[in-house]
Amino acid sequence: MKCRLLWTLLAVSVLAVSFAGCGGGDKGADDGVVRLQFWHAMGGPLGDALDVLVAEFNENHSDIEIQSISMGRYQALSQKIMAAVAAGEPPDLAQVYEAWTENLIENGSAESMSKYVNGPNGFSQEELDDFIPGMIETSTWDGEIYSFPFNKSVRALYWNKVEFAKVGLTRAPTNWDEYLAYVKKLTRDTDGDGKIDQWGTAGQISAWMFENLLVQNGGEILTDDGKRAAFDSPEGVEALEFMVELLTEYGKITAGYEYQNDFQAGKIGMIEGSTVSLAFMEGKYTFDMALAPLPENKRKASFFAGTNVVIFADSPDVNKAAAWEFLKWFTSPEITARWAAMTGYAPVRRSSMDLPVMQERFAEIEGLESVFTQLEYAAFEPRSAAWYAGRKYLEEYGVEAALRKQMEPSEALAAAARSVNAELED
Amino acid sequence: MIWLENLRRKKFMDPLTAAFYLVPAGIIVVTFRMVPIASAFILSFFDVKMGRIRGFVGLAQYLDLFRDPTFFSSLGTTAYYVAGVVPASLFLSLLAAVLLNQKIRALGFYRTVFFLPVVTSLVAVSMVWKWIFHPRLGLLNYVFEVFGGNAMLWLEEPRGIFEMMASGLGWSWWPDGFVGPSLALIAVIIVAIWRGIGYNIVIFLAGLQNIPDQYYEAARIDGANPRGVFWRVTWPLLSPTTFYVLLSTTITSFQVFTQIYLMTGPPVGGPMGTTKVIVYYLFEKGFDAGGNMGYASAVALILFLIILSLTLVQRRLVESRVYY
Repeated sequence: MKCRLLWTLLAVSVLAVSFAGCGGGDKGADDGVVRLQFWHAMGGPLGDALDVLVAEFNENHSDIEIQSISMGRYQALSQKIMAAVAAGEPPDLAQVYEAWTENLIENGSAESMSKYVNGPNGFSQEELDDFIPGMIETSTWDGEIYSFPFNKSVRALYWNKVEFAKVGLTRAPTNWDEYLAYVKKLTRDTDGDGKIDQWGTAGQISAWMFENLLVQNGGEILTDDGKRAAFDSPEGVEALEFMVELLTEYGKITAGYEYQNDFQAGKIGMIEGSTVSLAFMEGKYTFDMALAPLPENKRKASFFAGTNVVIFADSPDVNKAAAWEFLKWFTSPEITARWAAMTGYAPVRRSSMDLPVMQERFAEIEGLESVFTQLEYAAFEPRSAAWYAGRKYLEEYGVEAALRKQMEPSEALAAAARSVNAELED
Repeated sequence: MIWLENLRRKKFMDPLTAAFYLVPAGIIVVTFRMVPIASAFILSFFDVKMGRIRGFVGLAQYLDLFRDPTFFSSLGTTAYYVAGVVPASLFLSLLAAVLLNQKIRALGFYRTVFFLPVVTSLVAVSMVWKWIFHPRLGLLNYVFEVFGGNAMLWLEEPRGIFEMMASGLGWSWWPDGFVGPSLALIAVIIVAIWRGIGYNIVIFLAGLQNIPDQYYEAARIDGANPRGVFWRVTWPLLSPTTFYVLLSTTITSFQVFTQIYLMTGPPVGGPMGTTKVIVYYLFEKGFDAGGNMGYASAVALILFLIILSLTLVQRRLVESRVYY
């Protein structure tokens, strides 16, 4: 009896172990084709869109093969890159936030792209001026370009025109007062059972939403020298109070992107989201929907989100040149326009907006063109590694604590600022 | 292997033979246990970013650690986790093992059922449970609502369970220090118990089958009732096994990572950091952007010391009551 038990155990363990072992890539088959590993975090429709473009690039470049490897999410991507760099086996290309780039530069792991950008196979000044303002700057450290704009998005308001019409509204709110008044109007009990079943808005716990409200309200994330938190200002407190009122009185807070499902189901009047949310919602709603730029308050302001791509210094020169070839191709007006049309990311080139592929998209999605007008004044978040850690504190201690009503907005922001300042001091 | 046989016959060669057999395991233990522990110890005195040593910092990282509130809150979370998993897992697996040790029908089926979670990939298990706990689409809330209960947020609930019980009883105030583990952590604990008992049951079963039948027969002849048989015969003779299960469950509970990484968040360790256990904290400090492997090593070393001292204390306290 004992023996049989042991044998069963052994057999099952062997089975389990044999499932665990897998993986291992083939590097460097010697057939003159340069194979590049491109690590990214694009999943779902974004990953599909990227794979379409990568396949097209590979087809048109018989000597280069980009191997697109998705790590699923940014946090996992960051951890994999850091571990791979530590182990001395980084990929050739990877999507990175500015803060990670700063770490990689400091470590000598990021290749300067200036020599490619300004080289014979680079971009002319005219072409560089065609990039959306700030996109090259956010990739530049001490005059050297270390990363290249890849997928940047801005926030947008998605509004359900049918629900708006039911309460007599015909357009999206353009300022905070209207924003609040509209969500109030849209929040109601339609079947008369005493429970609210139709909500004005919904959202998730997001530092990005708060940051946008903060700058619209005249606040700043950090002080000018970048050494201390500035989001705990009266403007910040007001912005967070506004966010709490929107999302807890007239809206619902969901984990992750669940709120988009509720919006698609027609239960929510309007939601804020990334322009990329479009790719995830496409074809999943049946009502008449439109996009609009975020409502303004004291000023028109907005933050970009998303990453750039770096080339790793450890790669052989042929790989680096091939990697640049890919980035140059990917940021050409035509390709970035198609990337934008497929995903909702902002095209990185101004001239892309006039191309048929973008114009068709604008005709298809009402309001998308006006959302992209935000690109002209959208700013970038502080890019230091300390802020990357600090931003997590803002989200966890500041925004989450206030939205879950664990703390008053002013207390929550003060607590978050203390942690952020401690991080910035190190 | 005639030469080995010859070696063994000559008595003076015995230590050498023993060494010969010990070498393979020895190499593995040294390479994958001793060397990492030693290097973590050394690294904890250095500033290490992205695999490069940036300089000697002495005890500075340990001092930083003792000033880091997140370190202590993650220790507290881990303590809650261990306290939640170990006693419940021990009790349930012992109960199941005793029941499975009876002569009942379809014994093999039950044993398989209890052991299945152990051989299922922890990743798959975590993802499935994450769905079960989903506040809106999850099976658990559905069942709750069918029976007239209230839907709960489960993995998204940052409030402590003591506080929630108190407010359920209508008390509006509860002392801040005693809110207890968050419901999210409880959800993770439930999965850990469910997943872990199968393994413990097998160990307990082996222990139970090691108890010679004569003792039971003697007890029966003396007219002992089933409860008496359990407490006078089974429990003392099972004590080495119980001790082993207690030790191993405690140690693995301190080292929990995968369920936390896969089930909680985003961000992992949420809501509001209430499920951020010490190993995830270590991982975050070491591998996130801007991470410092030296600092993470310091955390790892503290964890090592905690587990080691706890194990020693357990030996002292419990071993005197173990009958070998």
